[in-house]
Amino acid sequence: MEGVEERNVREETLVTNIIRHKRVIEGMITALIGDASTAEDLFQEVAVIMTRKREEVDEDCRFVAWGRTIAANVVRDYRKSRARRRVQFLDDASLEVVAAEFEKDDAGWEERCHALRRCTETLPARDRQILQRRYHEEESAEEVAASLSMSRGALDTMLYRIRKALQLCVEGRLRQSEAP
Amino acid sequence: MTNDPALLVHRYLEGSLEEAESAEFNVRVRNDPDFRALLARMSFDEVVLRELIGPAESQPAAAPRPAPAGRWHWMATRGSVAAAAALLVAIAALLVFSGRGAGLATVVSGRLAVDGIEATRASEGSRVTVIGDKPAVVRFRDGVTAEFSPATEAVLNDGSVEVVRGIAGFTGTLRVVTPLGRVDVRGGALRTECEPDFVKLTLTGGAADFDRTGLVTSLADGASRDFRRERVGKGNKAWVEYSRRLAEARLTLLQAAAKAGGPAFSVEFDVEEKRLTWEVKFAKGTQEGELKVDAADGSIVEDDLSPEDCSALVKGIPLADAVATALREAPGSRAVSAEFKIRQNRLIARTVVVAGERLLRITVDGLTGDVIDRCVEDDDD
Repeated sequence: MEGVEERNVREETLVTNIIRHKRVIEGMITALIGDASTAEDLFQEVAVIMTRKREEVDEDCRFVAWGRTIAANVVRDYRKSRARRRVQFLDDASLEVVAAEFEKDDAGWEERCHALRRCTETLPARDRQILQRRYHEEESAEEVAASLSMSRGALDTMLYRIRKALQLCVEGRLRQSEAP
Repeated sequence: MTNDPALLVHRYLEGSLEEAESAEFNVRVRNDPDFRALLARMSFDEVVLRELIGPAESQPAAAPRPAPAGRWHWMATRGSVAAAAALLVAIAALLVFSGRGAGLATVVSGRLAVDGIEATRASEGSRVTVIGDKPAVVRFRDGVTAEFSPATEAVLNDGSVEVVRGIAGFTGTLRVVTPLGRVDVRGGALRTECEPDFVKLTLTGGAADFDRTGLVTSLADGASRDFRRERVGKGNKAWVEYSRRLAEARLTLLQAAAKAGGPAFSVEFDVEEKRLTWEVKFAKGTQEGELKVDAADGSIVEDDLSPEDCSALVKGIPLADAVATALREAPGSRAVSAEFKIRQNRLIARTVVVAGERLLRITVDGLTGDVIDRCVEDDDD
C-alpha cells in the first residue's frame, strides 16, 4: 500500500508535470479544435481529470502521452456537445495524427517558447497593441477591426502578417541556437 | 482558396476557413506531415502568445504578467512547485473555479460566484450566483451583456444563458433558457424574472420568440408577458402543447381503446417527434398486451405482449365507463389519458381531460364508478 510520503512525491510530480507540460497540452487542444480561447477552458478540464486519475500515471508513463489521451477524450466530448452547431473541426481521422504531433521528443517546445518570448519583444507597438486586444482583452476580430477603423479582412491580413513575422523570427532564432 | 499552408492554419485558428478550405485543410492534415508539424507549431505559438502578451503597453514583454484578480496564473507558481503537493486539491479547485483564461464572460461590475467561488471571469458551463446586495454585470466575448440581480442563479454557455431563478437582463442577440422554455432574442433588451413555475418576460427594442415546447409566443418591443407552469403527468410537456396536439388527433381515447384485443386498463396520448399516438395497455388472459395506435389513421404502430399479470386492474368497471364519468364532470372536454391503478389496496381509475384551456384530473372508484377526486392537473404523477 502506498505510504503518505510516496503519495506526496507522486502528487508533487504530477503538479510539476502539469505545469511543465501545460503549454504543449493546451497547444494540442488548440490544434484539435482551432480555438485557443476554448482550449484554455478545456485544458482546465484535462488538468482536473489528471488530478482525479493521478493513480494511473507511473514513472514509466510518458506524461504527454497520458495527457494526450485525456485531452483527446475531452475534445471528443466537446465536439459531441457542439455536433449540431456549425463549428469547423478537424475530421475524426485527423484527430489522432495531430495529437501525436505533440508527443515528438525533438519538437523543442521549451526552446520555441523562449525564442517566441524574445521575438515578441521586437514587435512594433501597433502590432503589439493588436495582439493585446486580441489575446489579453479577448475582443472578437470584428470588435478589434471596428475600433481600428479597418475591415475584418484587413485585420485578418494584419494578424496573419504578425503571426508569420513571429514564426520567421522564431525559426531564425532556433536555427541560430542550433548552429555550432 | 490559398496554397499558403501558414495562411491556411492561420485561418483555421481564426475560425475563418471557408468550406472548400476546410476540406483542403483536413486533406493536408491527413496526408502531409510537414503541414501537421506546422499546425502543431502555430497552435503552440498561439497558446504561448496569449501568455506573453500583457495588458499594459508599458509592461516589458518578457516580464511575467501578474495574474488578474480571480485568475490563477500557472507560471507564477513555478517557484513553489517543490512544495506543491499539498496544493493539489487547491489546483483542481482553482483550475475549475478561478476562470483563469476562461474566455466566455468577464465580470464588469458587481461580485459574482462562479461555481461557488468568487471570480472575475467565467468559462463555458459555469454556474454563477450574485454575491452581495448589488447587481453584477457580465460581458460576453460576443458582445452580449447580462445584468444579474442579487440572488439570481444562472448557467452561462456560449450563445445562451440559462436563468435558473432570479431576475436577469440581457442586451444583444442570444438564447435565454428559462424554467418554462427558451427565448430567442434578436437584439434589444430582455428582462427575465424566473422562478421554477413562473416566468415574466419584458422586451425593450428588438424582437424575441418564446418557445414553450413547440408553442411559440412572439414578443415585440414593449411587450411584457407572464407565463406559469401547468404540467401534465409523466414529463415536462406543457399542457398547452397537449391541448393543441390533441385537437389534431382524429382518433379518440375510447376509439383507440377499442382496438385492444382485451379489456383496456391504461390509455395515454403521446406526442412523438413525427407522430401522435395512443398507447393502450390491456389484459389478454393473464398477460399484458400493449398497443401503440396512430392517432391520425388508427393503424397499429406497435403490438407487444409481456408476461406481467395485470388481471387485478381489470376487475372493476370498464375503462369506457370511467372515461364517460370524467367527461360528464367536465362537459365539452376530451380525454388525454385514463388509467386504472391500485392505491392503498383500492382500485381507482384516473382520467385526465382537456377542458377549454384547463387540464383536469378526475379520479373515480374502480369498482363503483363514484367520483373520488377532481382537480387541476399540475404535477408529475
